[in-house]
Amino acid sequence: MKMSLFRVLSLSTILLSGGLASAVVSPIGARAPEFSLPPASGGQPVALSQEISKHRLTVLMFIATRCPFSNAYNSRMERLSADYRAQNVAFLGINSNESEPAADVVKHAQSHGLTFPILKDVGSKVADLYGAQRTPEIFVVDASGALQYHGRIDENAQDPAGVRSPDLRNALDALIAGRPVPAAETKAFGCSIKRP
Amino acid sequence: VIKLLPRAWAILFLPAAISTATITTVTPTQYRARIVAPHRGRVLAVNFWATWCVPCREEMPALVAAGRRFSGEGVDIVLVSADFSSALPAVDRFLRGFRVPFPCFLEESEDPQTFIDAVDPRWGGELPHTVVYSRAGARLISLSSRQTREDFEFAFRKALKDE
Repeated sequence: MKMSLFRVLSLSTILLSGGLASAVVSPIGARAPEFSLPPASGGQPVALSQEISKHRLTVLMFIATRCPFSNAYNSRMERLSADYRAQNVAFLGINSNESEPAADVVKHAQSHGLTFPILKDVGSKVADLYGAQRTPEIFVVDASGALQYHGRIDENAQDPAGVRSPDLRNALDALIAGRPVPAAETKAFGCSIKRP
Repeated sequence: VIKLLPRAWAILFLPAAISTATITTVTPTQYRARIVAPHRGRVLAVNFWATWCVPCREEMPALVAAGRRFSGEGVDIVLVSADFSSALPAVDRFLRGFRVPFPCFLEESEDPQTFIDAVDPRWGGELPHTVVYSRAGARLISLSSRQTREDFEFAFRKALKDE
C-alpha cells in the first residue's frame, strides 16, 4: 500500500481534502523564486534577478508548442509584448514541457512570429518553483522581485475580439500607474505542464 | 428473412448505440445539483477534459477500463468537457470512437473561473483533472494531469474505503 501511495504521488498531483498538496504557488506579494534558464535558441542563461534589475515589470509566461489553448494566445502574447515594450516591461516565455525539446520550441516561435525570448526549463524545475500547472499561465514580478499577478491572460481563449476581462493587461496597467491590481489571481482552463 | 433484417441491423449497430454518451451543458451554479447530487450513495469521479487536450485523450482508455471494473463496486463516472460549444461534434465523435460509456456534460460559463471555482477553489484549471467524491458527496481526492488505470483504481479503492 505504501508503494502504491508513493507511486500515485510521484506520477500525479493528488490533493486530499485533508490538505496534502504538491503544487504550492507563492502568494501575491511574496518574493518570486530566483532562477536562471537558457534560451531555447541557445546562448547565455537568463536570470530573473537580471531581468527585474533592468525592467519595471517582468512577465513570466509558461507556454507550450503543442497545446491548442496556449497556441490560441500566441498573437495576444506577442501583441502584449510589443504594447508594453515602451513601458519597460519584459516578457519571457518559459517552456517546461518535458515532451517539447528546445529545437521544437525554436521552430514553433519562428513559425508563429513570437519575438520575445523563450527559455527552456529542462526538468520542469522552474515550473515546480512557481507551482505552475498549466499553459498558458502567467506570473508578473515587479522591480523589487515581488510577485504581483498570477493567472490568465484573459477569460476568452476562443475569441480575442470577445474578451471582456483582459486580466493581464489590467494588472500591468494598474502596476504601471501605481494602483492596486484589480484581480491579482485569476484562473482559466489550460493544458497540464508535462513534467518528467 | 426480410422481416428479420431490421432487427439484424439493429443488433449490428447496438454496441455503438449503447456507447454513445449524451452531452448536455452545465453551468457553474448547476454543477453540484446536476452532477454531484444525483450520485449520492455511490462514489463519484468527475473527469474534466477536452478534445484539444492530448493527455486527456490519452488517459481516457484508462478511465474507461477503471470505470468498467469498479462500476459494480459502486463507482460512477461523469465527464465534463471544457471544449468550446462549437466543438460539440468533435466531442461526440471522440466519445463514440472510444465507446466511452459515461455521461458527458459540456461546461458552459461566460468566465471559466466561475466554473473552476465551483468545482474546487484550489484547482487552477489545468486539464485533465479528476475529482473523486465520497458516497456522501464530499470532495475527497483530486487528480491532476494524466493518470494511469492503476492511479484511477487506487483513488477509487480509497474513496470506497472512506466512511
